[in-house]
Amino acid sequence: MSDISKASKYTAVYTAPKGLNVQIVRDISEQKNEPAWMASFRLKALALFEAKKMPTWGADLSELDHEDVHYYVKPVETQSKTWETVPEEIKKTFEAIGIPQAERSMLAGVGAQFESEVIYKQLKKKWADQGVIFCDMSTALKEHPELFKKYFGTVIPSHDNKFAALNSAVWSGGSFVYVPKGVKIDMPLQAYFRINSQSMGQFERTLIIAEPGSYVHYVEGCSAPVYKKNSLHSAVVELIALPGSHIRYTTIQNWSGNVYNLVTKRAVAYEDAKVEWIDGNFGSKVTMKYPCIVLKGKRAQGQVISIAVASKGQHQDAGAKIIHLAPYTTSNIVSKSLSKDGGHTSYRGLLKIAKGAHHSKSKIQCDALMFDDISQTDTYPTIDVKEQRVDIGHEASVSKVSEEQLQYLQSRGITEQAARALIVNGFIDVFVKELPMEYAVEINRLIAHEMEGSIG
Amino acid sequence: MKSLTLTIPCRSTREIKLSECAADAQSVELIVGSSAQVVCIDDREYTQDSLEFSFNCIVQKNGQLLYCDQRKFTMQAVVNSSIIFTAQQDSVIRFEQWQQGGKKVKLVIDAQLEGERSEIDMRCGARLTDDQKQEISTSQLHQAPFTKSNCIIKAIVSGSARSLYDGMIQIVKAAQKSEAFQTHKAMLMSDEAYAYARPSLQVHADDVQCGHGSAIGQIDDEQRDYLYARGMDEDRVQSLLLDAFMEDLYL
Repeated sequence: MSDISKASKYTAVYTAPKGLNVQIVRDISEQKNEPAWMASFRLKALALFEAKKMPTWGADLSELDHEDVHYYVKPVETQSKTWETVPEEIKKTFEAIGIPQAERSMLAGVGAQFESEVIYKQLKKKWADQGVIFCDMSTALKEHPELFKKYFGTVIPSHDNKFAALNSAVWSGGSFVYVPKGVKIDMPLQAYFRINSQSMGQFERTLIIAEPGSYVHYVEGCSAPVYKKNSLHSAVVELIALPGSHIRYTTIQNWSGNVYNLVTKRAVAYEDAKVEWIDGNFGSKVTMKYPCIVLKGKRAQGQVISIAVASKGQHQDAGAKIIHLAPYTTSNIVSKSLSKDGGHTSYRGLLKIAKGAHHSKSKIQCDALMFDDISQTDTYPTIDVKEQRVDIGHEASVSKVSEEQLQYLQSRGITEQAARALIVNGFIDVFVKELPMEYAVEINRLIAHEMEGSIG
Repeated sequence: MKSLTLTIPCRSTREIKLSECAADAQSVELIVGSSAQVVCIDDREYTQDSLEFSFNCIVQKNGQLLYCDQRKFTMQAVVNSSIIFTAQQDSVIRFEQWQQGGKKVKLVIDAQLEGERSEIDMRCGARLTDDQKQEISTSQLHQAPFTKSNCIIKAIVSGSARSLYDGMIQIVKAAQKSEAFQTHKAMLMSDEAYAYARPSLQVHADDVQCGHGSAIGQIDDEQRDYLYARGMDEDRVQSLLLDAFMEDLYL
């Protein structure tokens, strides 16, 4: 079994030259055999990307060189429907992560993206028969053009921000999920994203549409091997929760320490719909990610539960945005962060209550745990309320592992290291308990690994 | 801008009324000497429509300062005030403010905890009506170990008034064992009332207690109904609950 921190040796079918220009964008569109409207959409987005300035707030992006990135790498000619037909070297990586085994036992469907393309996608027959669509975005563009065009780019337009414009210009891969009215998928759908090459940019785009009364839980995982040069991951994720539907989107991001992870995620929740972002940020050099929920219909609910772990050389600038546009809407944000060995975590959030969103309720809680005095943690919440009959609460705290708790546990015969691990597990429990059991076990292992030396 | 420097000698005890000793000074520097104890009351009244103030308060080792800002302005006044508090070793600064008047009032408070074991406590309250706008910005900078700071901002906002708050707590690496808290609460009393809060934290030291809280809401229905059920009329109920909302503002 291969080690996921090492790259697979394989030869890509097509690798775009480094840098970004009109020709490269045209080439990507041609490689994918796209309709003219998509090529034009991409070129307009490229112009927006070039016109927009780099963000001057948040994490330091000065070392990110847009000219030193391969914007498109096509690993294989055709997508596989069975694991047997996936090229051996690529399959080894996904086997190391445990994807094929998980598919058999606990998932309703699986997608695996390697570099720029989805190399494997499979949905269990039971769900396909009920009209569920789970495929990669390029397939959706070809096979479900009307559905695709109706929703694509409606939640996050190209002009939203510089990196949304970049993604719109060079997007490739990602998942398209459509859940018909009343269908409740009781097992998660999973996608796994792997960057393999050095100086590679991965720009997947995910679109989930939940028709009225439906339910879907989508899980994504990400990893990349360790390189000296930086890689870029800039995804766009759009969720559309139609009346009475429920979308849960879980991310376990474990990029290596040379990846810039600059992602735009936004959901729209209509009447009585519920959207949940469960967001785990472990690896990467820089993460800037603020999952957003626009509560557009009456009684819509939004929840963001996130955890960020930053060690040496890492800056996790994560947070959440909730916009209440309709009355009786509720939201809940819980953010937990851990920083160690000079790591830097930031919570950056926005809570907005628009005029007319009366009887809205929102609760925000962000807690930070620090392990040493060379690390840093920041909190920047913004609360903007234009409606009188609302109930808003925000709380933040920063602390270290409490000596009192440590002594209490030690006095009951637990070693200091085990006591620290127990306290950290208790701190992140609110996140872990939201995960399916198999992931929860994995996260506890990941935390123990990340915290090695700090909690034993 | 007329300026004035007041120096309070070491180990002395004073009560100062700025209306008596600094009636027309808009720039005031107050130096509280070592181990001195000072109560400073700013009870000046202004009729002008546009005013700028700057205060610089330095409290030296072991000194204590209670600063009560009770300035009164007309309802048309546009007022900009900036206050810098510098607390040296073992000193204690308390600041209390109740905004009276002013159409647009901007207050910038910069609290610097320079010396070990120094403490700064700041509390600001306001009842904003009509089209009043209050903009408060506070900074609590902990530069030394064992320092403590606390900031409470409360506003009852009615009419089309606006309450904006921007708060920052910064704890540098050397300021271990420090405690810093910040609370912002706004009670919105009308449909047009508006509140905005941005309470930020930047923490570089690990062994600290640090937190902030913000709450924006209206009078609690349950509390109101409880008092109605005991025979109180609407005005009495409202005034009782609003007084309770402001209660922890003063020491």
